[in-house]
Amino acid sequence: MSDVSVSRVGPSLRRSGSGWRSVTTEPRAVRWIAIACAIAFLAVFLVLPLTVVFAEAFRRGVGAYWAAFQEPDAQAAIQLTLTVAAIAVPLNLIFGVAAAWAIAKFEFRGKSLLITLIDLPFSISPVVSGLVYLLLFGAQGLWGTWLMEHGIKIAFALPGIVVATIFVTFPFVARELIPLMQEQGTADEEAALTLGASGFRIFRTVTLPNIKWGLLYGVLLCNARAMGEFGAVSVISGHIRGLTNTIPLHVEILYNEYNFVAAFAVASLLAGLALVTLAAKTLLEWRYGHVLASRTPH
Amino acid sequence: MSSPAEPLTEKAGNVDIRIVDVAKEFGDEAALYGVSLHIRAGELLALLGPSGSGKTTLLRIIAGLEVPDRGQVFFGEQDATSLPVQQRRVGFVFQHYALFRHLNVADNIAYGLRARPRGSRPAEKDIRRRVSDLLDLVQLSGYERRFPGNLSGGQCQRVALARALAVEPRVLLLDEPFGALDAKVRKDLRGWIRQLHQRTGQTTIFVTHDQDEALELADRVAILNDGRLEQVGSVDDVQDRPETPFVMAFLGDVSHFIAEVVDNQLLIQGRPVPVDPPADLSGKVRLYCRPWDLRLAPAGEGHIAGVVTGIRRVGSLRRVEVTSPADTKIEVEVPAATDLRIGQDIGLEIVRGRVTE
Repeated sequence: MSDVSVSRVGPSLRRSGSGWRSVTTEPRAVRWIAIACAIAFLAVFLVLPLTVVFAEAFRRGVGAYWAAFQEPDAQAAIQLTLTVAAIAVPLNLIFGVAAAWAIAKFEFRGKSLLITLIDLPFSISPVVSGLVYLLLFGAQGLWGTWLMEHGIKIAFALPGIVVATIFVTFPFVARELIPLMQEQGTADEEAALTLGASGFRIFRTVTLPNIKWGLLYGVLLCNARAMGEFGAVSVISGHIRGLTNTIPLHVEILYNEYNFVAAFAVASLLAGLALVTLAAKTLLEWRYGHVLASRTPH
Repeated sequence: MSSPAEPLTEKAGNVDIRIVDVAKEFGDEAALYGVSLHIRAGELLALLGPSGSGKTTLLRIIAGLEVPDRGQVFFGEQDATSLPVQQRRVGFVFQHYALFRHLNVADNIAYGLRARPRGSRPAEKDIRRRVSDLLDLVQLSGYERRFPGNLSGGQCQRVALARALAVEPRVLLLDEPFGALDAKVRKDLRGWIRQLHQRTGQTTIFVTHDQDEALELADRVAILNDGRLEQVGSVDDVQDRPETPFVMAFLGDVSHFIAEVVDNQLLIQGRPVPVDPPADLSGKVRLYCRPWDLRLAPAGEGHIAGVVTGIRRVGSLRRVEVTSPADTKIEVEVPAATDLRIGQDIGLEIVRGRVTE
C-alpha cells in the first residue's frame, strides 16, 4: 500500500537514507515508544492480574484446586449463579431488544429520557441499587410488611438477587443494539412492508437477522456481568452461606477467611468465564466477519 | 392481499394513480402543500425537483410509507389513502437498495412471494421459477446464491428491482434509483430501465434531482419546488414551454433580459426581437433565453453588446460566456469551429426566447 502511494506522488517525497516512507507514518522511535507503552499498560493492568488469579489457584496443585469446588457451599454458589443468570439474561434480552427497537425505529416524546434511564444502572453505584431494592422489599421496607403477610420472600432470597442482577445488567443488550439499529435505519423494514410482510414477520425475518451478531455480543457481555455482579447482590442477598451466596460473594467469604487457594480457585471460574466470553466474541468476528462487515452500506 | 387467490402468472394490471390535493407538513423540511397529480396507467413519470422539494415525500405517500395530513390517493377507482402499505401492492426501490443482507439474491427476490398468507402463497416450485425468470429479466442469471455484500452497486439495484417486480405491483416506485451509482453504471441502468418499461408497460414513477436523467428517461415530468407542483408535462412541454421561471431555470442554464413590449412588438434597447410576446402583456417584461436561443454577432450588431469572458468545450459545441456592460453573464452555445478569444468585444442576437412579466 505505502509503496504504491509514495511512488505515485513521486520521488520528491522520498527521504534520502530513510528509504520508503508513507506520509502518515511517525518516525520509528515514536512508533516503538507508543507500542511499548501500550504493551506495558496491558501487561500490568490486564495480563498480570489474570495470571495471578490462576497462579494462586493452582499454588497447592490440582488436587487443592478441585477440592475447592467439592465443597457444598461452593457448589451451591455456582448453582445459584447459574440460576440467576438463566433468569436475568433472557429477560434482559427481551427488554433490551424491545427498548432498542423502540428507540432506533420510532420517534416519540421522552425518547432521550428513556435513553438516559437505560444508562442509569451504569452511572449508579451497584451498592446503591442493592440498597434501593432492600428498602423496597426488605422487612423494614416499603412493601416489606405486605410481602411478609403473603409469605413472599424477595430480599435475602433468589427473587431479590435476580431483580438486582436484572437492574445492574439492563443496559448491556440495549446499549449494544441502539447504535447498530440506528445506523441500519428503517429502509430494510420499509422494503419488507412494501413487499407485503406483516409486522411480526418483518421482525423475525429482517430486523432480527440484521442485529443477531450485535445481539449475541450484548448477551455475552450481559451474561458475564450477571454472573460476576458483586455490589448490588451483596447488599440484597444477605450473604447466607449455601443459600444466597453467588460465586463472587463466595470468593469474598473465602478470602476473608484466609482460604486463599480456594478463593482464587473459585475466582478462576469467573476469570475463565471472561476468557471464554472474549474467545467467543473473537471467534464470532473471525467466523462471521464477512456478514458483520457487510452490514455497512456500500 | 386484496385478492388472495390470484394466480402467480396473471398480470397484476396497471392502474392509473390520482393524487388529489395531498398535503403533508413535517417539523422542518420536505413538506407538501396541496399537490394534485394524475399518473396515467402504463406511463413512466419522473418526479423532478431540488432536494427538499417534497418529491420523495410524495413518492412515499403513494407507497403508503407516509400518511398525508390531508388529500387522497386513488389507485384506479380505489381510494388507497388509508390502505396499509402491505395491501397497496406497490414495488418500491430504494436509493440504497435496502436488500436483505442475510439473504442471498434468490431469497431476496422471493421474499415478497413467501410473505404472502398461506392461502395465496405460490408453491415453492413456482416461486423458484418466478425468481429465475426475474433474474433473466434483470440479466443476473447464475447469481442466485450470491449475497448482496458481494455485488456491485448496479447489480444490487437490479436485484432490488427484481424483488420489487416479483410481487407484481400495480405501480413501480423508484426513489433516486441511480443516486448511489457512478456515471457509467448510471447510464447503463437508465437505458436498461427504459427498455424494461417499454417491454412490460408497468406504471412507473421515479424520483430524481437530475434533470438530464428525468428528461432522458421519462414520458412525462412533474417538476416540484418547495412542496408545490410547478409544472407537469411531456419532456418537450417542460423544456420548450416552461410555465414558471423556476422550471425555466431548473431545466438548464438560462439568461434573462429586461425587454419592452411596444405595439405588440418586443424590443430590447429599441431593436426588435423575433419573439412574439403574449397578447396581454405590455410595458416592461422579462425575456428568458437558453444558450441555444442566442447567436453571436459582430461587435456593435445584435441586441446586446458584451465581452467574451469564458470559453469552454462541451461535446461538439463551445459554450461562450459573454459579460454585458451591466455585468450580467450570458451563456451562448456556438459551433466548436467558431474563432473566438477571451476579451473580444462581441454582439448577441436573440433568436428565440420566452416572455413573462
